[in-house]
Amino acid sequence: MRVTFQTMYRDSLTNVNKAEQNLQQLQQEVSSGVRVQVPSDDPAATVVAIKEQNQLSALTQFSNSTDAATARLNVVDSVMSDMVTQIDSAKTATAGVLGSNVTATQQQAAVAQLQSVRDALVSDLNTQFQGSYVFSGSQSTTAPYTESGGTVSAYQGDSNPISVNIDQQITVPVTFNGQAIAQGTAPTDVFTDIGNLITAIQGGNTAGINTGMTNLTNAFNRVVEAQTTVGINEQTLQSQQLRLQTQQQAATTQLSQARDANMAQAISGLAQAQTAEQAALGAAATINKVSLFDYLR
Amino acid sequence: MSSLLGLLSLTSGALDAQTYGLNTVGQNVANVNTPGYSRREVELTAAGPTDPLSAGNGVNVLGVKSDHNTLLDPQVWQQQSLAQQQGALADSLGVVQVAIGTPGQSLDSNLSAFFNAFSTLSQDPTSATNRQQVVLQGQSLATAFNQMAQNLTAAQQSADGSIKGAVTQINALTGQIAQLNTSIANAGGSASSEGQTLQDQQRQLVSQLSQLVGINTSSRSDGGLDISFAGGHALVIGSTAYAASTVPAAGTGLATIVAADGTDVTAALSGGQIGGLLQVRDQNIPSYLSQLDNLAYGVVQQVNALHSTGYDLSGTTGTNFFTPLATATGAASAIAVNPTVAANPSAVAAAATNSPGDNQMARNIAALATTNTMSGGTATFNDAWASLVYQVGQDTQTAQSAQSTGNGVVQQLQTLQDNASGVSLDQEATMMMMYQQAYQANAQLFSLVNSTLDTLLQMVK
Repeated sequence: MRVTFQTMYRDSLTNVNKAEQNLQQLQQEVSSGVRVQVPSDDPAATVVAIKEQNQLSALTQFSNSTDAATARLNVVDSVMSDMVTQIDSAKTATAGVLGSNVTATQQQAAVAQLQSVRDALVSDLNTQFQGSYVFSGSQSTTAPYTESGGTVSAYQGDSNPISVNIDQQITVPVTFNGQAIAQGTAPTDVFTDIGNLITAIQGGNTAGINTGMTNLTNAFNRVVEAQTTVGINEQTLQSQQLRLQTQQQAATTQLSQARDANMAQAISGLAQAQTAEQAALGAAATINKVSLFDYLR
Repeated sequence: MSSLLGLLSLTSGALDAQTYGLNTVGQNVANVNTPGYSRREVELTAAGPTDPLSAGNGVNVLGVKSDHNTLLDPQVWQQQSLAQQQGALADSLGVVQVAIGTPGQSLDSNLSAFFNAFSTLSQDPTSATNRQQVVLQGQSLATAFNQMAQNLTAAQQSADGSIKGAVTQINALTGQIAQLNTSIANAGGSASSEGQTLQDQQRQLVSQLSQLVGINTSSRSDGGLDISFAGGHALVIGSTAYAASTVPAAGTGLATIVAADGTDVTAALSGGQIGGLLQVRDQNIPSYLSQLDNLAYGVVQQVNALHSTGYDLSGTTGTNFFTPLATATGAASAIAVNPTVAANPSAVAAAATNSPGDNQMARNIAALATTNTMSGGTATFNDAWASLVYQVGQDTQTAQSAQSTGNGVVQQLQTLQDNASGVSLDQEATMMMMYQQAYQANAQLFSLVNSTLDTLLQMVK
């Protein structure tokens, strides 16, 4: 077979080009740490990368939602703790005016204490988180209760507490029906109860005071019950956050496996490619260093 | 009966023949790098004797032969066409796939950011910041769709421009090839040295033509070539070139290719850069655009269907989030946030009931991100995007690997062609020695005859 000048140059040029292309690809892979630079590098891995990126983004969003819900429930929890303390102090004050040796000063002190508790409870239930009322159900722009001149309004929110998704299927309530806490199934709410109790204390009405005491106990139980639910939800959020972190790690691993370079493999490939490139260059350089013409003298 | 004088003239003829051989070697070595040059070989033959007692009358030069394997030409051209088609396809798709972007930094991230904004809104549906964020992410998503559609259309336009350019090049080449047909016929075809040189030139032009478009060639008896394309439409017959032209198609404005006989051959063309460009322009990009349109339309339809049943901060219902679209065609370029909502973020319907703090609609819209609403309820928006990216990646990869295979085949065929017609310096050196030594031998003989004649003449003195 005749070996011609152009064939040799063309072949060695092609080989050098191939070797350099391969080297360049591996250099890029090693320097960027990314194996799939464009979809055509590995279409299937690109799809996995898109899905895992999407999954990561969704998980991050759920994680943010979980954090936001946790912050909100922490506030609600502490508000409820205050309500428990307030109702407890109301009960203590009421217990002090039960019996036969109650002085007018003691009565006045108890009344003052109860009025203060009533104000505090209204204030607690009117708690806002980032500008929205948390005890108005879905009426987050409306205060659940307003007080003027010692009279507390009726409940102005609704009975539709809103929830947020902390996973595709898991939701946690982040607003509350204030009426369910202040009144529950009782005929009157805690503010009316305290008003009646104040009247009973002022009038020395023992039966009325006892009724008021029972009502306070009921209110106390409602708040404790609601707080227990909040506590359970706080735990749910905590374990959800841990689960989301695990899922994020899994998705990150998947993403990396789909997209990132296997560094050990890429670096050894790079070394191979360098050798191959040098060999191709060396071979190209030796082409026709000598031909028969060199021997004709 | 031979004579000394006759021998002198025989030797002189032999010296001429060897010089002719050296001249050919010189021509071959000079053209060792000339593309398309076919190696020349001197055809020598022994001159027969004119009388029975003579061995012969020396050597005759029949002419110069071009060592070209014409059987391989059509195969090389055809494979070049195929390789160039895949090359043009791979190059154009390479641009498209860069426009498509990398995972997590393209439309997919806009989609998740948009639905995540609704999820954030559900945490605090009355927050002005959250509402503003939903509108901004909606606008970003719409812009991303618009931009992506524009990128794809730009790639299509660029392919169209290249097609028009290629047709101009084709016409320039066929014009030259037709002229060469005339010159080759005038020079007497492959029988003459001039004809061979012209044929080498013509083959170079045909090779360039085959890289632009798939062609069929047939040899003419006068040494030239007739060329047709697109299943038998003439490009060159003898001395006449038939120019193809481009005509903008009604509606799209994209170029259709019309043969000289007036037939629209756009669909019949294959091979060459034009073949690849047509495939990108008329098949790949329209398919991608249609998938993108479907995705944009799906987003508009699904989001609007929910949003229009929700309530905004002021208790208004029935508002679309995106400007409604009548059809999926062109949806990616047309998608836009409803100006009413864009101007007033409080018009975002986060509530499913008429209470400002309700977040049910925001949650429902956020949940669309993970709902199978595309492809007849089997894929999420993200899945639909991923399958578009997959198709682009797969198409590009296929074209790249076909291009690489095609180039390999072309190279093999070129090597075969070179084996027959390329210049080998070693061979030329051998030939040079051969002619040189033959020349020396003949010169010796000439000198011998000369001195013999001298001896003869001395006798006369």
